[in-house]
Amino acid sequence: MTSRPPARQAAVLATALLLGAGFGFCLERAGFGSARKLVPCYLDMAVVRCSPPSSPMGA
Amino acid sequence: MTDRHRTDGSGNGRPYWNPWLAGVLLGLVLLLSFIVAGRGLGATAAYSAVAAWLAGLANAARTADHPVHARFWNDGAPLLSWTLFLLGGAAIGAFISGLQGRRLACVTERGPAVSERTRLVLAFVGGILAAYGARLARGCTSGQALTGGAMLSVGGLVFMAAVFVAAYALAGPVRRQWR
Repeated sequence: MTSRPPARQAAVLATALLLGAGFGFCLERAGFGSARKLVPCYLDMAVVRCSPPSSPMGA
Repeated sequence: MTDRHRTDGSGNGRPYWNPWLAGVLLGLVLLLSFIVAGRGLGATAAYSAVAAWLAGLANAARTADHPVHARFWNDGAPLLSWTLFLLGGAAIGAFISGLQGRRLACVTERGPAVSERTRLVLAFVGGILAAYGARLARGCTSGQALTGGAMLSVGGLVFMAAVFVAAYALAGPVRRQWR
């Protein structure tokens, strides 16, 4: 990566940062920020719930 | 730190996304990554980059030729790693989402019967196991299950199946830690 021109390298790393932000945003919004939501067979089965969504933005 | 035994992950925050919607949007981020950068999402290589950097501090010449670290040495600049920046961005994105969803809190999530110390020790041990497994599998949940699964990689799909089998096999003992 260091063999690239500095401006190109900065653009590549900025792209990684932006894509990562989208990645992290989606994960947190899905509940991955909470260990409780990820423990199988616990209180919240959101990760493996198979019922179709009742509302596109519902919890 | 006032709500250490809370029973749901969101506290008083706004509702999470519908899991189906979250999955589709996550898939679109993955697709965007393939289109823009020609590569998928992953996280494990970021830790390997930091490990190579640490090894380089001790002996740069040896790290550059090391059979494990050389791959992440990046001509002497291991911290300028694509995956490390991706991981940094993920932390920023998660922070923004938590802020927007009013879920930001300094809290150790744990069951009422487990001390904070036990919870942190278990998390640390689990982290070591996860890291070891990720290196054995040459990828973690992001790289193997998400990116590999999206590419219909047999290894990625087997990895994902193994994750679920292991998680449900251990669900009984783990469950007791949370109730």
